[in-house]
Amino acid sequence: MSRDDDSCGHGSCGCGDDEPADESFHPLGEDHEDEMREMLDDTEYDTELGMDMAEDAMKLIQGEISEAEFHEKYNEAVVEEFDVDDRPTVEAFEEAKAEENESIFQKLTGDGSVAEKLSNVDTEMNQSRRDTMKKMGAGAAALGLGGVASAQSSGDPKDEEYGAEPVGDTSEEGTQLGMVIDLNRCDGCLECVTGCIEENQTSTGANWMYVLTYEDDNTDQENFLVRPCQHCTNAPCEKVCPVRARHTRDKDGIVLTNYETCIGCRYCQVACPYGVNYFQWGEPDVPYEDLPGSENDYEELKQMPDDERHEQLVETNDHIHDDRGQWSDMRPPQGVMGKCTYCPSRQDGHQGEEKVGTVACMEACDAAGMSAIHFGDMNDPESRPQQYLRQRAEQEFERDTELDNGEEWGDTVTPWGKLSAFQLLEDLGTQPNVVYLGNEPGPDAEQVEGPVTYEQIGADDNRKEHLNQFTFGTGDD
Amino acid sequence: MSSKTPSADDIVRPMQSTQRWYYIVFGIASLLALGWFGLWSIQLQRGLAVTNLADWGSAGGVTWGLYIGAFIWWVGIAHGGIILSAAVRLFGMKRYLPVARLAELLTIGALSMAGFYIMIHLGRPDRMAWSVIQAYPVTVHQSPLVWDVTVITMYMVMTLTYLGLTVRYDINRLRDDLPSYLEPVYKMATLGYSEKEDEVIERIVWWLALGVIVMAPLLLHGGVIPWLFALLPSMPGWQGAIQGPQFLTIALTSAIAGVIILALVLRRAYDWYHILTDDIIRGLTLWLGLFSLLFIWLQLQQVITGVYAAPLDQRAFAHAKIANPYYQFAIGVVLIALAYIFAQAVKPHVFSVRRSLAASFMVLAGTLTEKVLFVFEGLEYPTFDMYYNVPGHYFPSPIEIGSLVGTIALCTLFFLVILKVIPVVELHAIEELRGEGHAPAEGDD
Amino acid sequence: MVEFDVWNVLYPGTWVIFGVIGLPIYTAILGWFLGKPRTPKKAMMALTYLVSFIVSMWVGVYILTILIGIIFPPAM
Repeated sequence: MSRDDDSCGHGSCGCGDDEPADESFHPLGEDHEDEMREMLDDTEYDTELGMDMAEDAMKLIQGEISEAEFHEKYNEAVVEEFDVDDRPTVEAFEEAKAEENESIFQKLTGDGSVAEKLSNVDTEMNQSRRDTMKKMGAGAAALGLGGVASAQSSGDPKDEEYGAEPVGDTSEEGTQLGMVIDLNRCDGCLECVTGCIEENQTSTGANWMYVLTYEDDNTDQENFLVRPCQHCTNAPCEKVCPVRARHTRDKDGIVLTNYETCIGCRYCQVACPYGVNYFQWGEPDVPYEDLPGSENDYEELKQMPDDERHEQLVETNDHIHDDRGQWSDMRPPQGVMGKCTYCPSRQDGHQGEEKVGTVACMEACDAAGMSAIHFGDMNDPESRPQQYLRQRAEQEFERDTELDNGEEWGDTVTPWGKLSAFQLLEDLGTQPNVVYLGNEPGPDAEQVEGPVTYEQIGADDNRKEHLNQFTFGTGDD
Repeated sequence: MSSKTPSADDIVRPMQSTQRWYYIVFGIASLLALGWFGLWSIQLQRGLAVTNLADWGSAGGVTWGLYIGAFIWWVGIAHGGIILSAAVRLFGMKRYLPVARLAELLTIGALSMAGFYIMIHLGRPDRMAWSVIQAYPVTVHQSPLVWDVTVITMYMVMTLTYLGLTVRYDINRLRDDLPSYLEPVYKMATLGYSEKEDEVIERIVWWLALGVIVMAPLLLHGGVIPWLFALLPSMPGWQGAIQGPQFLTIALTSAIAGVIILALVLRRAYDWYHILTDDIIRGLTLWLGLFSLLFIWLQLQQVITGVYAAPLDQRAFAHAKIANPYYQFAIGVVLIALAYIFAQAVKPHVFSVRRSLAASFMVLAGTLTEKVLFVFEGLEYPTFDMYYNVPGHYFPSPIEIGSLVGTIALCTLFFLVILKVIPVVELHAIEELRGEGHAPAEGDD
Repeated sequence: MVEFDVWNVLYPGTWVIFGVIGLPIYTAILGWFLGKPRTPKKAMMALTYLVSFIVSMWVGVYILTILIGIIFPPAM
C-alpha cells in the first residue's frame, strides 16, 4: 500500500498486515506516532489521554466502537482536563441516553438506530468520519469553502406561509437543502425511484425521482443521470405561479407546492426546464384517507400555535402536512401539480427525529449499498453532501499528485478543482441545488433502456400511454 | 347592390321580428352548446385525464394543447373591436362605422370565450377566482399569467364601458321602437342620460379608444400573451422577441376575418346590403391581406432563423415545425387567401363577397392551426431533450375538439341574444350614411 | 460573470403592469377628467361603468367557480 493510502484500518482491512497489537495504531506508522507524542508533550495537557483518545478514534472510524461509547469512555477525563467536553460525539451520547426512555415515535417508526441530524454519515465508506477526525487532530485547514451557515432563516412572519421570494440571491444565508449525486456510484438499480414512490404514493407514471440511462456520442460507457427536482434557488416554476402555490420554503430553501391553493394551470410544468413536474390528471391512485395525516384538517392545523401543531403532526405521523400545517407533501389531489418535495414531513420531524435530514431516495440508495445520493444543507460545510464533495475532491487530488506539479491542497487547489462536477442546464440561470459528480450529458445524449427497467420495478415509464385509457371518446376506454 | 336608403328601421328590425332562420340557428347552437356542457361535465368529474394531454418529459406528452391554442385564437379574434373602433374614432375612417359596433360585440363574445377557455383548461377551476385574487398583490409583480389576466380583464371592461357609453345615444333615440319587455334594461342603461351628454361621451370614448388601441394590440396580444411563452427558459421554440410581433399579426388577421364573416352573415340575415356594403367588405378584405402578409412575413423570419444555423434545440423545433403537414396546411391556406386578395387588388373584378368570406374562413382555420401547433410543438421540443419520450406526442382529443364547437356555438348564441337587446349597428352609422353627418368627429382636444 | 439580476432591483411585473400597461389606462382616465371642457360628472360616470364591470365580472366568475366546486367536488 502506498504511504498516502488511508484506507487500511490497521487490523481490520484484511490487507495482510497482521501486525500484533503493540505495533503502532497509527496508519502512518510508528514514527508518526512518536511525532504525535512529541507534539502532545509540548502542550500543557495530558499526553497519554491524547494518545489513548487517538487510538480509540481510529477504532471509532473502523466502526469497532460507537460514538456514544467513545464519548462516554473519555467524558470524565476530558472534563477533568479541559473543564468542558464539546466533542462532536456529545450528540450521539445524549441521544443514546434519551433512547433509554422509549418515546412514542421510536415505537412508531420501529427504527432503533441512532442517527445524527446533519452529520449523516455515509454508511458504506467511512471517509467523512475520517475527515472529521483528521481535522480534529490536525486543525481545520483553510479549505476556502463558503462561510459557516448562519443559524436560521429570516424569521419574517410574513414569510411563514410562502417563504422566500423567487429571486436568486437568498441561498447564501440560511439553510439551503440540496443534493450531491455521484453518478459514478449510480448503477441504475432504480431503488431511489421505488423508495420515492413508496414514500409519496404517487400515481402511475408520476416518477418524481427519475433515473435516465443514456448514451452519449462522446463516451462508450453506460451513463446514468439521476433526476430529482433541482429545488432551484432561482426557480422559474415559482416565478410563474399565478397563485403562489409553488413557493420556496424560507427555513430550508426547498421548493414546494401548496396543494390547497394550486389551480392546476400547469404553468410551472411549462416553465421548468428539467421536466420534474407531474400533474394529477385524474383521480389519484391512492385515496386521501389512506395517507398518513389525512385525519388532520389543514384549516384546524393552521389555527394551532406552533408547538401544539408540531406535536399533533408528530403524534399522528403526519406525512402530508409540513410544520406550517400546509398540505404539500405526498401525492397531490386531482387537478393539482406535484413533484419531488425533498420530503418536508421528514425534515420537520413528523416521521421521527432520525428521519430529519434524510429523504426517501437517499435512504433507499444507502440501503441498496450505493450511497450515490447525498442530501443535506448545501450551505453547511459539515453537512453530508458538502463533506462528501470535499472528500471526493481530496481523493481526486490525491490521485492526481503523482504529477507532483507543486499543487498544494488548500493553497492552489480548491475542492472543485479536480472534481468532474456539474449542474444541469446551468446556463439557464435557474441556480439548481443539485451538484452532480461524473460525466455531464452532452447535447446528443439520448436516454436508453437501463439495466433495470421501470416495468421491472412496477413503475410506468410512459405516463401518456397510461393516461390514454382515460381519454374520452377515443375508444381506448 | 341595393339602392335603398338606410334608416333607423333597419337596425331595430332584429329586435322587432324573428325569422325562422333565427329559431333554427338558435336551436342548433343551443344543442351544440348543451352537448359541450355535457362533455365539460365529464371533464370536471374525471379530471383532465379525459383529454390527450400528459406531462412533458419522461411521460411523453404535452401539458398545454388545444385549450391554450384556442384561448390565444379567441383573444386574437377579440382584437377586431378595438381595431375598428380606433380606425373610426381615432383615424377618422368613417367608412367602417357601420361595422364598428359589430366588431365591439365580437370582442365581448370572443373575450368571454377566451376567459371560458382558461376555466376549461385549469385542473381546479373551482379555485380559479379565490386563489388568483388572494395572491394578486404578490403575483402581479412576477407571473406572466397574472399579467395576462390583468390585461384581459382591462380590455374586456374597457370595451364593455365603451359599448355601455355609446349605446346610450341609440337607446335614447330609438326607445319607442325597442321591445317593451326590456324596458328595465334600457332604463338602467340610460341612467342619467340627457342629450347634452352626447358630445361629452364622444370625447370620453375617444380617450377610451386611444387607451385601448395602445393597450390591446401592443400589450395584450402583442405583449402579455406572447410573453407567457417567450419569457421562459425551457422551450426553445417559444423563445425570442419575435413572438410579440408574431402574435400581434395573428390578432389582426383573425380579428378582421371574424368581422368580415360576421358582417356578411348578418347582412344576409337582415337584408343590410345597403348598410354593410360591398365597399366595406372590399376595404376589410384589403386590410385582411395586409395583416396576412405581415403574418407570413414573420413566419418567414422564424423559419429562416430556425433552420440556417440555429443552436441545436431551436433547430430541432424549427425542423419539426416546417415538416409538420398541419403547419403546411396553416401556411398554405393563408397563402391562398393572400393570393386572392392580391389578385382582387390588381383586378377588382376578381373580388366577390363569397370569395372574401372563404378567405376569412381560411385565415381563421390557418391561424387557429398555427397557434395550436405553436403551443404543443413548443412543448414537444424542450431544451432538455434527453428523455426517450421527448419529442412527446399530442393530437387534440374529442373533448378538446368539442370545446371548439362548443365555444363557437356559445359565441353564436351570444350574438343571437344581443341582437334582440341592442342595435348592433350604431345609429350614428345610419345617420352618416344618410348624410345627416352626425357621426363622431375626431377628438376636439 | 454578470452577477446582477434585475429582479434584485425591481420585479418585472411591477414596471410592466404599473408602468407600461398602466400608461394607456391612466391616459384614458386622466383624459376623461382633465380634458376640456371639464365634465367631472360624466367622467365619474364612465369610471363607475369601468369599476362596476370589473367587480361584476369577477364576482360572477367567483360564483361560477363556487358552483363548480359544489357540483363537481374534485378527488382529494
